[in-house]
Amino acid sequence: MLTRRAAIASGLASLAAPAWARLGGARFLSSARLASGAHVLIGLTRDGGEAFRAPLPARGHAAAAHPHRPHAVVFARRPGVFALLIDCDTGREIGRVHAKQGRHFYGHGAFSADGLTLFTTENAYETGEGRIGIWNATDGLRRIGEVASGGIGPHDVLRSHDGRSLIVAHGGVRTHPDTGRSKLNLPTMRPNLSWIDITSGEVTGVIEADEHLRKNSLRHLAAAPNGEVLIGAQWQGSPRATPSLLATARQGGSLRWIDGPSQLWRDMRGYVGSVAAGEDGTLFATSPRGGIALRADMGGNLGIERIADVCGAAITSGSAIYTTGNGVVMSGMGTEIAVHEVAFDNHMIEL
Amino acid sequence: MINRFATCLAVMIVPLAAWAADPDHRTIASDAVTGHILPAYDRFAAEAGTLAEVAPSCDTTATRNAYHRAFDAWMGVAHISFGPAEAGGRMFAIAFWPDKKGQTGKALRQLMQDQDPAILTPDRYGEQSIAARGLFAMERMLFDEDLTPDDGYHCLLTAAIASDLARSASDIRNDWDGYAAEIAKAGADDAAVFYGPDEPTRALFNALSTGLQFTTELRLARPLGSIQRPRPKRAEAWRSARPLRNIRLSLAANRDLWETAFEPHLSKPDADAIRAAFDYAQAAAEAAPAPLVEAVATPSDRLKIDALRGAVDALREAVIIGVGGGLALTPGFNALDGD
Repeated sequence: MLTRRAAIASGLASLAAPAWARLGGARFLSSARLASGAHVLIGLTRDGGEAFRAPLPARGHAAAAHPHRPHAVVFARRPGVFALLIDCDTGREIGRVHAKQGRHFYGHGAFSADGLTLFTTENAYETGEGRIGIWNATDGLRRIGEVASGGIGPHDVLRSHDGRSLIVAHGGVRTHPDTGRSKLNLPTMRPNLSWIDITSGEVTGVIEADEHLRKNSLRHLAAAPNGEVLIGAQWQGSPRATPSLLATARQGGSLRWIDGPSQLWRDMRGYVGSVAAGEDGTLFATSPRGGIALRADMGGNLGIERIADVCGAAITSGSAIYTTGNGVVMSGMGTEIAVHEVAFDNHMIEL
Repeated sequence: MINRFATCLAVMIVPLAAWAADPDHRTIASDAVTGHILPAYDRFAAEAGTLAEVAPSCDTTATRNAYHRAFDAWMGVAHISFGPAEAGGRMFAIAFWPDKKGQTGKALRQLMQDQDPAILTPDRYGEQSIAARGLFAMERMLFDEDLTPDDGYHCLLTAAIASDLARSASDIRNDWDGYAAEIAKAGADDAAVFYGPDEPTRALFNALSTGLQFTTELRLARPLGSIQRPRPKRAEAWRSARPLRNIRLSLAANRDLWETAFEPHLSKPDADAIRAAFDYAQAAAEAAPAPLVEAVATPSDRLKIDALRGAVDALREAVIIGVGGGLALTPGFNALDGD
């Protein structure tokens, strides 16, 4: 932690939100399930109210905000194949594409810094190799190619702080649509983080966990200050082991696991659903299985809030905001902000 | 579906203390293990073992009979989707279905063509594609006319599949001893699998509701297809004429789990509603016109199969409301199904 603190003190990087988001209206996006069983993307205002809802063809997962235009793309949940371009001023769908034959989405994506290109995490499921789908985003979405992602199960993807690379969290778990969401390779899984040069498409760096942590599936990412990335993990090994579920990393380095009591990781049921990082370096992670929202400050202090079925996490005004499967929007201090008649799905993103 | 969701929301928002009395999770779990799960796995392991003993005889009739008994016994445990059967995807190595791309047929044709004697040992056969293993591979060997027994290798391969199946079955059964001990310690300080006393109950409830869902969606809705296009070959184990038999046996096994573990702990109205729903679904399954592969394509019979699907769906709703709501088990949306 000392290294991180020193690093961050030396130069605060701004985690710029898209400028258009300040126009009012939707500030957060989350997929949700309605009482009818239908799925929607919901735009939430700063105070947790509903700005819009856009129907989805099936269950959604995460979304990616365009850096300049008031647009976002919401992705199908694994192993789904749709991606919808949504106008966040009106909530209208303005474009729809599907994964190419033999691919499915993992549910996450990221735009290039100039907003011209969208990148999607995909499974080439006959071989099990991870792919990054590349889409021209200048006018709607049009697939223009793909590159190897550098591992199995590329789940979340993040644009690096300098905009030159994509950072990809590979869960390491092989699945195939024919066997649903069953995990096919747990004994041999090997999660990693890869860095991909946006210009060349080459994998320029890979970080793997140590051998004894190779069943700690690296799933979700958040940009932390000063070029660091925060990783939330899901433990696939023996429930007797209670490894840390949160790490930070930077390109060329190694995974630095956040220290915490084993009881904490056990209470989180070995499962982090979402992560978020504040500009001051405070880290947030949710565990719906444990009903816990965790906060780790720069001094290594940990605090938890008990929030039933919490999963979505984003940053607002320097603190966290959470969504739950019970339709609740919670502040980082554990105060209820709003309640909706929906089940918020796994992730919330900030616009 | 609307009702179920409303129940789920209402249940989850109520704080834990608001429930007057927690159900007796320890009794539910131990009754399920000793009264339902272990006897059913004992039977499956025994029948799979018998199949492995019979198959090397190359006697098709005797092997088919043993196959049917093993499959019958599998229907007694197929819904126990958690624990040792889930570990390492063993369940798929026993029952690779639905097989949307016909992978079992492809894999077996390849093996028949290769005629490699080295893969026939239990260790090596356990490394084969899951599509070439288990009950559905066995069914192809015994009932698919494209894989006619033209030489000795056919019988050797059939015996290897049987032997591998028997090993999977006995591995799962043996692992259940340790797993049962973990269930018994649920919520204790040294618990390693179930951290809360309610977690085995939740796993059992999930197994029951998922088992019923498997019947409606995969065993019934898929072969029903549409009126314009029924899909009889999507029925489960149609080559060995088992589709309705599997549905009846699965409903009986689901009922046994419910009666053994949950019924004594429910309020009378909830228990009555579920019992009536089981009675109705099982009567619909008995009355359904066989064979299912013909019924789905015959307009008047098709209605009865669709009615059966509706009856099992209604049963599942009753279970979710009665057991899930009554015992406050309905899990959170994200906790249940994260990514």
